[in-house]
Amino acid sequence: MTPFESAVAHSRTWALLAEVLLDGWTDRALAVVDGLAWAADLPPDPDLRAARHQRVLGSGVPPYESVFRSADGLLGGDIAGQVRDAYAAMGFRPARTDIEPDHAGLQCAALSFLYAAEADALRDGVPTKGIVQLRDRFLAEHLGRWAGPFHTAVSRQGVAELTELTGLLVDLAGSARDDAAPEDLLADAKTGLKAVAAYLLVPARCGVWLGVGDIQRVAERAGLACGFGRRLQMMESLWFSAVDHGAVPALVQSLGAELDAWPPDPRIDATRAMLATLAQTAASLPADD
Amino acid sequence: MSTTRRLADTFARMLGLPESKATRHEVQASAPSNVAGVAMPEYGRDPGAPVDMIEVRHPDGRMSSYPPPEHWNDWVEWDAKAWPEKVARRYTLVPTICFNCESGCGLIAYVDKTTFEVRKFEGNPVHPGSRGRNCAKGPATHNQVYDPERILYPLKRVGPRGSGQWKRVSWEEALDDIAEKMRESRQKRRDGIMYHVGRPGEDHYANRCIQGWGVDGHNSHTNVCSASSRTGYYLWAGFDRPSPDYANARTILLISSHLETGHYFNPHAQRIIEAKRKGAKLITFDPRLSNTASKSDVWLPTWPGSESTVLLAMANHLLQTGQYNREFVRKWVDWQGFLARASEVIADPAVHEAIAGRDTFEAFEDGLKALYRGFTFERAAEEAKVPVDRIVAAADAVARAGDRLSAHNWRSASIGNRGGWQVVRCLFLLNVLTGSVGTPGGTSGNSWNKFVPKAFRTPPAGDVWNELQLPDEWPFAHFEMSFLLPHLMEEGRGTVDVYFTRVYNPLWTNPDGFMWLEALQDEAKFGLHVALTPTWNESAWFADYVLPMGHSGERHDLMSQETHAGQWIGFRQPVRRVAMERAGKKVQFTYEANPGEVWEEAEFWVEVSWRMDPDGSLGVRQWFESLENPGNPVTQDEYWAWIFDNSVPGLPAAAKAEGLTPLEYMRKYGAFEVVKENYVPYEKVVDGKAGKDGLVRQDKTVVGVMVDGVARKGFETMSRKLELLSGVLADWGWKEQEYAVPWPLESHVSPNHIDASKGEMLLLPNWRLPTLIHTRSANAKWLVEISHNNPVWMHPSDAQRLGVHTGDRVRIDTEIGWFVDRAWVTEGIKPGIIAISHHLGRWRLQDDAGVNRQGSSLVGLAAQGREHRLTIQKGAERWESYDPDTSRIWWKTVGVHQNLTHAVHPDPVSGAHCWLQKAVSVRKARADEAYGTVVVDTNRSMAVYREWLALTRPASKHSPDGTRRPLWLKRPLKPTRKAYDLPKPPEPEAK
Repeated sequence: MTPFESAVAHSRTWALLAEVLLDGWTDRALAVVDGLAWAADLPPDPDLRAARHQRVLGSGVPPYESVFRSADGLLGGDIAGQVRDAYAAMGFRPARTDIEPDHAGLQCAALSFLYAAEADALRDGVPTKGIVQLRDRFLAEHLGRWAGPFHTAVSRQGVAELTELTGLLVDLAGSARDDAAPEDLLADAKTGLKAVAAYLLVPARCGVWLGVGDIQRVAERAGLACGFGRRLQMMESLWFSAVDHGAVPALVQSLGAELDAWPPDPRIDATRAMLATLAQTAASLPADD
Repeated sequence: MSTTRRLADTFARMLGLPESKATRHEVQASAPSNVAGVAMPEYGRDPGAPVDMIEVRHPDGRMSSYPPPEHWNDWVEWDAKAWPEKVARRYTLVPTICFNCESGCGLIAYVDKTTFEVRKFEGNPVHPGSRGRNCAKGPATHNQVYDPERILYPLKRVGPRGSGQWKRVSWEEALDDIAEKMRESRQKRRDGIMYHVGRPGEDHYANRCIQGWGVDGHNSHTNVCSASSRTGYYLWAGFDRPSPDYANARTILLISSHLETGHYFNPHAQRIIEAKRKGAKLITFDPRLSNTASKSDVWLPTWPGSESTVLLAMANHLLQTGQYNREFVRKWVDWQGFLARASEVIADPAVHEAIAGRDTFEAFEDGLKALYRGFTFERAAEEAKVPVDRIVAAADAVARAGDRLSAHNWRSASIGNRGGWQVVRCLFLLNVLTGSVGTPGGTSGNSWNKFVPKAFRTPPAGDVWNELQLPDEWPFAHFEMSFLLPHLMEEGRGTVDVYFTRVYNPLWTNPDGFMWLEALQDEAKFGLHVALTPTWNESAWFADYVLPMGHSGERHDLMSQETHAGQWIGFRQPVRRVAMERAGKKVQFTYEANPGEVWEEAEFWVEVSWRMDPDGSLGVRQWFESLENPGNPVTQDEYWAWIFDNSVPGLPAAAKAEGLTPLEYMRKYGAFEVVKENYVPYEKVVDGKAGKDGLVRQDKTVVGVMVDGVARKGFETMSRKLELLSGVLADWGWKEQEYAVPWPLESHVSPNHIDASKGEMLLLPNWRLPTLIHTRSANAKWLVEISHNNPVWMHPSDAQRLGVHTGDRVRIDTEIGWFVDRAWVTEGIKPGIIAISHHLGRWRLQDDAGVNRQGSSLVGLAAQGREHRLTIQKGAERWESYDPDTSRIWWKTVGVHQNLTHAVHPDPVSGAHCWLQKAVSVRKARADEAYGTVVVDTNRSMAVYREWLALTRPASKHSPDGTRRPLWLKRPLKPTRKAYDLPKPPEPEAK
């Protein structure tokens, strides 16, 4: 494969990723992946494909960098601003302005744009160094920093075609680890169950993403109820019901199984240690009635 | 897949270089089953495929899809729960009527054609009231049918009352025993059998039975519900409920949110939204930011008891600015009656000066303007504690309504305050002044829009008066003084031989529940207590028989409600029975088709009445005998066929057009529209002879009134016109101006009676969340999961004063006791007021029996003398059952039973229990005051009862004609004229 062909292939692959992440399995995307081995598990029923896409990327795993990397785990904020600035620097104007710029699909679109520019430059015989620098920096500072956790989170939802798709994303972006420091949440004697629940919902703190489906799975495995509603409400209900029913060790074990599914990370180690401590001291935890 | 291969393949494809099959599952059908109460239902698989649904575009612009009626007998659809697998199910769709409030909304039961299990309940698109839509309570019927803790068989008490020991008995045994005791009572007296009903859910059947027994035995829950409102409307117009035509209104004025968010929620709410989409303005009076208030254009969080003043300020605005419908008032208000009695009733000399001895309409107008001149916006704002500009905005919206003002008051202010019936009088004054009476977009009378058919063979009225139901002190009560039954019994006023509680839980629902507890345990007061109920309740625990009755898809009833300006009937059906009969199976009694041996009252009443009078000597049996098959009891098919053949105009023709009998038509559609539109019926021209008094008579019966030389039907009042001045009230001792004309009456919780400086507050308990059903939602898991707590709403300023935060335990002291609940600090409640929903706090006395574990607390009851204490031992919990959801219960607290601490407050006129309570103390609870604890001293209960009793004006002292109650006033079952005679005082003993 020539450098030009490689650039074209990368650009088109990033475009495919962008399209599926943003718009689902469009006819165009389906035509592209038709016959590819990794896309063999795509359901033939369009409604089912759409429902699975919605379940994973519409509600299960928010595909935004700020969710995975910010200290509060919320959408928007500084990270979204930094991504917007990076787009401006590379001359990329996202086609969608109704969503935050740090959406994985838009980041893929930006990379498709840069690879296309590189291919153009190669074809025209002009230098590509500046384009490559922009691309490498964007990957190093943004998509490459969270593609790995994002893929793991998606793979936990049990939808094969999207697991494969985000696996392809990691193939291209790499999976550099974020370097946020682990926390010792229990060092503060005032830490209660609500703080623990909140901590477990922020990937930048605990090292993993736990969506609605993940929390339900944790609850089911522990034989507990988590109710419904916002993730925080569910996680709090889960902990309260674990305390009420003397099932904190079961809950910790179930959460541990989730952590085990994730690649090694010092934050996950810290989370595991915190959970072990909670299991030991469950009887003395403050419980709301 | 490996990274390398995935990437390589993809790149190759990108550079232009280079399926699954759905698995069809075998279709299997299982056998017919009847597993409700013992297992989750299963449904047959079918090889068919669905047909398209019909789309219905609603008047508010929304669109829904429904199965077309021509496919209801045989309907196939995909099973959503089997998704993503495509599994078809085949159903027969049987319409019925929801039984979870009194709206009478249409439901369709999807009955599996293989197993006869009910898959779901959805809306009935051909139902004229609900138009295919339901609130959460309708579909939740499915929870109730398949509730793992259902009462499936008749139970008889073993051991002392309330000991919680029951044995299963056959229907035969229960029927024979109960019928024998009814016979014994009836042979002794005609006031020994009492039918005490909560939500009737039907319109005539039970009343006919009671009349057939020849007793004065109808007792209702009306006096804890709508009595005040009924009194207010009745005094004005001779109908006892309003029927607003919301959909066509220009302005909608609601006193409270109760009706539209909690009670007759669905049919009214959808029409209010319809009107709002067309530009109508919505005004809501409510000290609490309810769902309705939040949707309003003007929210007036009035201080309870000030509503009448605010309404009269609006009325005064209309009068002083000439924005009233002068022609309507001239034609339809009994202004002549007002002028004739003004000197006797009106205290204000300025009114008499304005009238100046004239007898003209102009004199009346001048008098009216003088009468209400003092009700300024500023005065209203001060009393209501709301900004004056909001009252002005509301008044302007009312003025702009023209004759399209839809107004309603059901509970809230009317049932909350002493004198609440005057709130309704003041509210309806606005309808009268704007001419919005019976007009499109106006407010009609319920009796105009509710269709109640003539019953199958009507027994004659009885000639007996039960003093326990309508005692001497409350001649204007609407209706029976039911919540005072234990108090009246304690005074030795009477006893009951056979007491039927029917979907009624007085111990829990009524105020002063410990008085009920004492009475229900006393076999000298209640000889035999039979609880007819679809689910466990606190009162049934103290019954002698607990007889399981069906939910909405398990019984026959006929219902109608005043949902809009039209008339309809809805037919409740036992859906499994109907489905089985459609499949050619024979069913004699509904309990053969229902889960376990759950029965329906309609058949039960026939059977028990038949046995009550085995030889016909009591004269009872005849009313329950078949016409088609003499010597045998009437069947449900015969009964309803007779009604539909003979008593519902238009139905036989509509049925014939489809080649059906009227009964088949109703079984197919579940509803029939009797009258599509019904406006200004009082304008109807009538035949008759006009008298000097302006009334029109046929023979001696008044049928109308002369208006501008034309004989018209008019209203069901003494004058046949709208009575601003109630001559009847004045005649019966309520002659003061503040009673005889629309006027504010000082509430028992007015600021004069609440000393904020001492920390006293007003407790607002008369509201609820829209997903709750009095005491019948604890068995609906979906509803309980949505709402299961009733915290204390408290304004941040009060919370700060008391040092309370959300979640803190708070002790609230009332006149007779105290209870502990948790605080919820919110700006959605007016400062000085605390609010607690009155539909939660259910309890049971035994861990594995009684009210459902998902919705009740296990409690302990203890008493020292007459001081009673209820303490919570544990809240809701999960447990193992055939329903996996019972092991997923994630909530624990299920509310606090506050009603136990409410003293009874019988309004001296309407007899309504005035629900608002004075919280004599509100403070943070001490460590030893546990959540949910309730303590009450029933000695105090009786003391407060006597304080209110002293406010009454008994018929024996004030009746102008020697009767117990004005004959003109309504009663659910009116006895003969003779029964109205006051008892003669005993003859003095001869010396």
